[in-house]
Amino acid sequence: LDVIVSLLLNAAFLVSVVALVALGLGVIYGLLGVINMAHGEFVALGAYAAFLVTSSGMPYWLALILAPVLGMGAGMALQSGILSRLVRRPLDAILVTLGLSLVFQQILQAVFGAVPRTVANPTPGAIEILGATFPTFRLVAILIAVVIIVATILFLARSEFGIVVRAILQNREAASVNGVNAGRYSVWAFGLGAALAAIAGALIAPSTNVTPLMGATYLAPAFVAVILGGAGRPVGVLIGVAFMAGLEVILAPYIGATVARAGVLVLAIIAIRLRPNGLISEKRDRFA
Amino acid sequence: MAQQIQRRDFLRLAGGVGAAAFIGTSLAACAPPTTGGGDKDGLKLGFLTSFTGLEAVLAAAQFQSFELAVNQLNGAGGAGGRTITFVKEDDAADSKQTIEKANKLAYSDRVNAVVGLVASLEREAALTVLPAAKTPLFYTTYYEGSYLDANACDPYYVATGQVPNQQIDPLVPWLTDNVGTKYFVVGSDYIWPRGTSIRLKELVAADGGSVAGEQYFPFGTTDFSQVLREIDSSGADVAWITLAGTDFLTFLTQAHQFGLKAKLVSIGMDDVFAHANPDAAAGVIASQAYFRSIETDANAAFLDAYSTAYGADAPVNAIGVAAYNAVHLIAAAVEKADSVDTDTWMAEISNVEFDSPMGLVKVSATNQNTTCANYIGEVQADGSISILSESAAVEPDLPGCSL
Repeated sequence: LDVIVSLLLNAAFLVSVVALVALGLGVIYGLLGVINMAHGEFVALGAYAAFLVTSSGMPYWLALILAPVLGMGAGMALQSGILSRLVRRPLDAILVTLGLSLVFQQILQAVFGAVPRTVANPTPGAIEILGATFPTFRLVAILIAVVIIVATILFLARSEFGIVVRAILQNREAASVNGVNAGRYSVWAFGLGAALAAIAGALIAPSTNVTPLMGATYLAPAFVAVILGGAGRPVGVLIGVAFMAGLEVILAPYIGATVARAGVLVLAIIAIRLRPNGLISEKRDRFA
Repeated sequence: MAQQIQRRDFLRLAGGVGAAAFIGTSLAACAPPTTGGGDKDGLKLGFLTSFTGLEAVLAAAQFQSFELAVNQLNGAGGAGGRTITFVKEDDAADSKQTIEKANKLAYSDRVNAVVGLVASLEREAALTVLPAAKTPLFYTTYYEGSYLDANACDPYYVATGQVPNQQIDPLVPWLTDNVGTKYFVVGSDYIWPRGTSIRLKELVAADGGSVAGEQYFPFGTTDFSQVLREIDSSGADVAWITLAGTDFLTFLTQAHQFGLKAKLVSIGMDDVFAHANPDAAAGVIASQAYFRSIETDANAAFLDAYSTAYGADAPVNAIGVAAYNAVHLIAAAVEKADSVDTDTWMAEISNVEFDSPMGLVKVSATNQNTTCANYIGEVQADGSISILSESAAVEPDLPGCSL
């Protein structure tokens, strides 16, 4: 039993963290149609926010506020300053975000150095759950991630913001005619996506090392998860993440970590081939 | 819908994620070279390592020790009157960039020798370029020797780090006496961990022990929670860790958080890793040619000069001191040969010795690896490493290598 419990807990941690990253990526893609190749750098930004907070002697928990604020600020600046000019040029937007991801990596490297940084564990110690030992902080991180994910999905589905953004998506011109400032909503949506990635970075930081290139590690599974889940559907994204991160954790002990990582990608390709519109697919409606 | 990207485009572009990561590491390599002036007959060295990327944590100690040796020698008249200059390059622990930079150092900068490198994949890459250019490579990291057909035997290759018979052979019997004989191996998925595991398993079998599990992880693994549970449920006494660079630090952090019961042992542990995260590294058993805590006059003088130049708490390790030794051995050979002609001074490389901070070192005439002592130590809560056992200098053993 303890084997299964620890397997589930370990998978839950990875899934919840990658889900935050993927949800952010999905929000930006689903709502704006922009593939944000610099999304991983928002994760790194959040992790460095946690490093800054703890290394200056402040409690770690402040990072859970600072990281999304920084992420949202950077994301909104990016959207309003650059990407808003590329609304009808999605391929250019991809190239721009790809270039920006390299620029961000170099900025992080210039500011913080290439050497890995550590963030002290805010809740040291481990707890026993049905015979399995699990670090307390991982449990806290799972809970925080789940709360944020549920809140985000509800916000997108129920709030006026979510409804307006969906209206923009269905028909930008009609929405504008009805008095919606599409540009302004896009800026907020991009900020929301970036904030989700940054808070994921802050949640990961105490369990790993903070490096300028860490974003790529989380971007790849999040990316595939978004595709797999049916791009632009939050619940689909969560299923995609469970497939990507969960399966890898479960397979690794049996077939080796290297083969497991490759194998999950192969399975993802097969799944996409069989269900090109995502694992859960209704007709062609984006996000809702 | 014209401005929206269709699902198919998204799929097609997904491949770009990998490309993004790749280009990221390429650009990371643009460190400005610090070319010195120097007389025409001076000694010009290339220093190549991963200042960025997976092994970045080890670069500072390696470079600073190298630079310290150059500065000290120049202050004392250089290499037999020749001023030593150097060119510094970053390969981001990426073999493609190692090849590019090795080519640059050999053909464009025309250095007399290249010193540095951490990961074996960097060494393998550099050796596809440098011997052909008749530019000797001085590799300063402990490694797998000739296991798994690694490139370790070449007239233009000198290793100043340890090979398995120097680093692992003394360690396993010590573990048998002091910790236990049941092992679980966790390494990065490349030639160093897999090659050294071969020697480990031979030694464990000779002591009547067993290896309960063996797992290798791709570079950049960020979660080791599953293997941590497996180590404990296997009942292993020793968790034998050969993860590289950042991944090793990640593992230590998580092993500490999960409260791993098995004793952590690593031939990669040294003062730099211990200093990077003392909380997580405390208690780890290490086996190296050098720890800061070695009590000799040569080491005291070295540490004094090192802290004066780079700060009181700047850590240094066997990789660094081996780089320091490499510069001194090259300078001594050049001085003895009184020439910077490669074949002339390289003919003297095994005829010189150096009283280094790690003890007397000498390059073997048989295989051009280095005779050095070994120390077994344990990381303390303050990040220092206390020496538990010490073995005399032994010849490097590379079966089948006769130069």
